[in-house]
Amino acid sequence: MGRLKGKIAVVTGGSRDIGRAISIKLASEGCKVVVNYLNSESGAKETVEEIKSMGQEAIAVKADVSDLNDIGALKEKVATAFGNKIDILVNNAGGLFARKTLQEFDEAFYDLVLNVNFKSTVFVSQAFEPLMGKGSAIINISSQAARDGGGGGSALYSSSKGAVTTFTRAMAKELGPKGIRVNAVCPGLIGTKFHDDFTKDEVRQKVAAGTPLRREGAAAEVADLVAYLASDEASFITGNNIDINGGLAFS
Amino acid sequence: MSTEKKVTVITGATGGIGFQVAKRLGKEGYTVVLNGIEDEAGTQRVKELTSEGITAEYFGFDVTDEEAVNSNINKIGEKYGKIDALINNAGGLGGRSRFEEMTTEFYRGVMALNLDSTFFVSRASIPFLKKGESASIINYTSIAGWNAGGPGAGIYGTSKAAVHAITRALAKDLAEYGIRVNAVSPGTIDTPFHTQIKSTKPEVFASWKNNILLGRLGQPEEVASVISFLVSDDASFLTAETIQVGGGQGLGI
Repeated sequence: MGRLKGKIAVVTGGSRDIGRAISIKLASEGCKVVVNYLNSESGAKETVEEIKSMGQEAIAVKADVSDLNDIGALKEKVATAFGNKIDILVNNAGGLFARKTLQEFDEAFYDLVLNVNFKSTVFVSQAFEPLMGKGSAIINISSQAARDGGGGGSALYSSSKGAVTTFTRAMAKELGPKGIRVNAVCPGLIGTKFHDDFTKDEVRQKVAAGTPLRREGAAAEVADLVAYLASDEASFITGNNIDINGGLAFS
Repeated sequence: MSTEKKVTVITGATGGIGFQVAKRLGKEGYTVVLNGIEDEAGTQRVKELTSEGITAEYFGFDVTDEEAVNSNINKIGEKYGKIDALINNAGGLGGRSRFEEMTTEFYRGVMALNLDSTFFVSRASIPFLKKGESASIINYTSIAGWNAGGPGAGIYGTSKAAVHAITRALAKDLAEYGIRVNAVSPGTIDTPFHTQIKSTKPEVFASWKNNILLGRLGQPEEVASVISFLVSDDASFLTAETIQVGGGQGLGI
């Protein structure tokens, strides 16, 4: 469709699951895409190859987006590859890591979860905002967990996503006058490796059955929403946290 | 008879946001059925759309009149064989009144305009939406549905809160047919609904603008683009959701 022709997008955690789907969707709409990854080098390379096979430009950049030095290095690599301007930032990197109750988690686990989900969103935004002009867009990936507190043992994950949701609103206020729109999406149960790793099959089946649309969502469906929010079609939408959950969570 | 082209029915489509939605969906290839109560404007609007190569037809009826809704939606459904996108755009403030002076007639009028209309038209359309392709309904709520509206607009806010709830209720009820139901919540949009106050109360108008993060009023086209997305397959996992189109005015909702 080419709604995003010529734009430059940075997608953190773009090597797999929703991040990968977003990278590919943005490229399909005409973006040059920076696919950031930390662990999954092969996934990032596959994503970049898929984008290149569509005739679009993409680079894979390894960086721990919870580390300020790495964020600085990421920014330099983006500038070298595509110049000192980006149009779309998708703060997608995140993770649940493990399900732990209040009595099970320790300070190190707290830091890990909050850093990967929230600190990354804050400092990647801080790093790239100076490269963003009027008409550009930041999209944060929050979660249904931010709305409902999350499933068992995910209190820190859900709280970190709650922080992402609030930060989204605060940034919408701060950056709105500059013409930068900031929105978040809150995915419900999406069929991804994330849930393969952390959610039992019977729980997934139960949640899908209780969803009005009677199924899990697909990563590509979240990517469609992100691409829409990134485009000029959404020019009057900012500060929103949009639920994409098949009608499950009535937040 | 079922037609291959997608069919949309847009209530209150002779002006403002509704007409822009008609234009947008028409350009995307939908056959557009416009509803309104100003027949002359309706005929004119159809001419405008037709001149742009859009297939359009006008049905004049009052969406608060149950009988009229039933007979007209039946006519539309039978003629086109299906409805793919129902846009419950008709609605309005219906005037301002404080509660002490509020007549029952005023109360019922505002509720009818916003809630009855959504209910009547949706109910009558369900048999035809079931024949549609990835069919969906779009309702219109408002920030007033959360903050209960400005001075004298308490019942307007109440009616919009009800539209918010009926959106979710319809989404639950119709999901088994694959029919999605979502809402848009337009903020201060550059239509006569809002701009008439520019001349009568400029200070109120200025205060609105100051509350919008993007520092300007929205354009009707910017609401139409959201609706175009919501009725498309790109929004295939979105149902029971309300999207604020207010340039950040509805922050916190």
